[in-house]
Amino acid sequence: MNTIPKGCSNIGGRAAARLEYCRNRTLELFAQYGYRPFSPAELQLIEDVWNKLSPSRARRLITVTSPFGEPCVLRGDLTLSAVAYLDSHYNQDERPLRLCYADRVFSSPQPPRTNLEENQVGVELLGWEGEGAEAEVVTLLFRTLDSLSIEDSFVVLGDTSVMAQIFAGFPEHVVAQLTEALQKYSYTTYHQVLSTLEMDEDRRKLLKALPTLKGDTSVLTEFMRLTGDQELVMPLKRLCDTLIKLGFEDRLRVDFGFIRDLGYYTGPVFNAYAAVSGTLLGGGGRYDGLLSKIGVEGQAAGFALNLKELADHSPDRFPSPVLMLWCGGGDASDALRYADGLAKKKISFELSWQKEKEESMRIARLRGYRWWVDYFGKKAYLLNGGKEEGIALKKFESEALSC
Amino acid sequence: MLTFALPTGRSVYDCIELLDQAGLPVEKLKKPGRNLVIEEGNFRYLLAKPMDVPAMVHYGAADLALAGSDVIEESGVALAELLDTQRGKCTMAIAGPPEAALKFNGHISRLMGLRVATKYVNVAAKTFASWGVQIKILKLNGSVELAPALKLCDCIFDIVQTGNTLRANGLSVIKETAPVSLRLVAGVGAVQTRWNAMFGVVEAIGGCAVRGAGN
Repeated sequence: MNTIPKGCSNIGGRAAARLEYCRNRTLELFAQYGYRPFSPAELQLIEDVWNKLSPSRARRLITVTSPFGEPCVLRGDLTLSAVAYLDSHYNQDERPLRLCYADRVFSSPQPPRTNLEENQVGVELLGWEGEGAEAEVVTLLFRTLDSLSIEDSFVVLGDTSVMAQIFAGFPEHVVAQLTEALQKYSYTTYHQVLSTLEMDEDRRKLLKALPTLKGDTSVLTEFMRLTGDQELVMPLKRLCDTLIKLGFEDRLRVDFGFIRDLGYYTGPVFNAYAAVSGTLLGGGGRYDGLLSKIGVEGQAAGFALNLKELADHSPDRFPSPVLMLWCGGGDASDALRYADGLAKKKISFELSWQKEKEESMRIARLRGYRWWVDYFGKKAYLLNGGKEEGIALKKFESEALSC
Repeated sequence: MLTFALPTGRSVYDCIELLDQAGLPVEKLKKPGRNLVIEEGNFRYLLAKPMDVPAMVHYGAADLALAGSDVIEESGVALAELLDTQRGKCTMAIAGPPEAALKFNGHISRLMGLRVATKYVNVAAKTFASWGVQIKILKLNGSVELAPALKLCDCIFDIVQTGNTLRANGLSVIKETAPVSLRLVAGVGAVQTRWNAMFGVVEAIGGCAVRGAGN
């Protein structure tokens, strides 16, 4: 028996079909919005990724040495590859670039999880100079969830730049401590660090309240009341207003203590959750800073969704083939020509070359096919578990297949 | 309804007292019998082994939980640590017989290869590694204080409350490494999506924690 490495999994059967369905559906949608497919390398050079991720995220990368002796990591992040691709393949006047992908990423798991790999689908909008990038990306995120019938989902918005401005004036190491505490959701550590700092009471009140400023979009007003500054939160408010106008208000949440752990986000960030289970489906944000690190000016925003979670939460199912076409005992070319005809009519089927009719029917029942068609006998059988009487193939074609 | 995971064992009494003071319904919880799931008012309480509490919250089986900081650290599970309740206080410490204490008084190189018995293997490894010391860890699930007398180890790494069990076994605290207390935790997803539902409870428990710290 073959075993597979701990933390890896082979996905087959219905799970693979669901995964494939979600992958195709999302890529189709991304293409409609003008995002072009991108297939990055599986290996990334350590030197290219290490200082672009947060330390906690970088430590989870899986290092390998390529056969050419180069120190690499298994691709832990698709955004970094997309940014590198933009830099090396496009001139300034060709931007913005819209990329989408469906690929695997690898990282050491955080307990209690044990999986080393994750299938992701996502988009990156790179190098845009004006407004609208994050509104487009968050809207596309909602549309993606809707296209998979996961309408019962939330998107939680935060803004890294707001936090950076609130922490302004503190020593760099203190900002790092506060940021790391929020990133890890360790509010006890956050409050411990705050208690060591000197500041006026209004500022302390705001900083103490920061991790609790979560909830529906009314939190924006609460934040403005506490800060007395409307400008600080205006980019996030504009984004919320756009999404509210598009009808997403009930599915929007705001979290002022929210920092994504990848470490390269510089503006609005967001997570998507399935409402019923509370499962994290994925997330993204704006990361202009990552572009500026490689000398590219402009905005960048994107998101990645966990394909397996999408497949688990989407009530839509990969449409199974409708019928099994038994081609035993006759000229294969005849049967294949008939199969071509079915394919042209967009009717999905599986060919059966079994010699015995009963064996072919048994497999068809086992696989849950609705119809079993005896091509050479010119009969079709409805496999409903009851009395299975055949009907003439012509009748089947005109009645059953036309539905 | 909010689901609250609580650790069984001695800390459950601290938990019940805290929840009671915070105004949560705990009458049935005070006499759970053999029930592991107790529903009272708008709350469902899950009673679980302390080490299982973080995973329960992480996977969304519970919205909130009280868990020792020792257990949270050992589990390594990503959780939102909402507040320090200031209850169930004790200390994570290295303890051992007098000869082990002598090693800690000398140069750090004398600690290399030290045999340490503990149920907190991850925290122990991390603590000694932060000093640049490589140790041999013996994982035990209980009665760790027995191990030095049986010559299974040089010292132990465990939580210490009163020190009575240590003294009864001829051991003493050599080095305290971290304070331990009960923390209010929640799943990261729950904090982001159900904050409005849990905020009142967090505030109420936080108020009790502040009063507890003041006492």
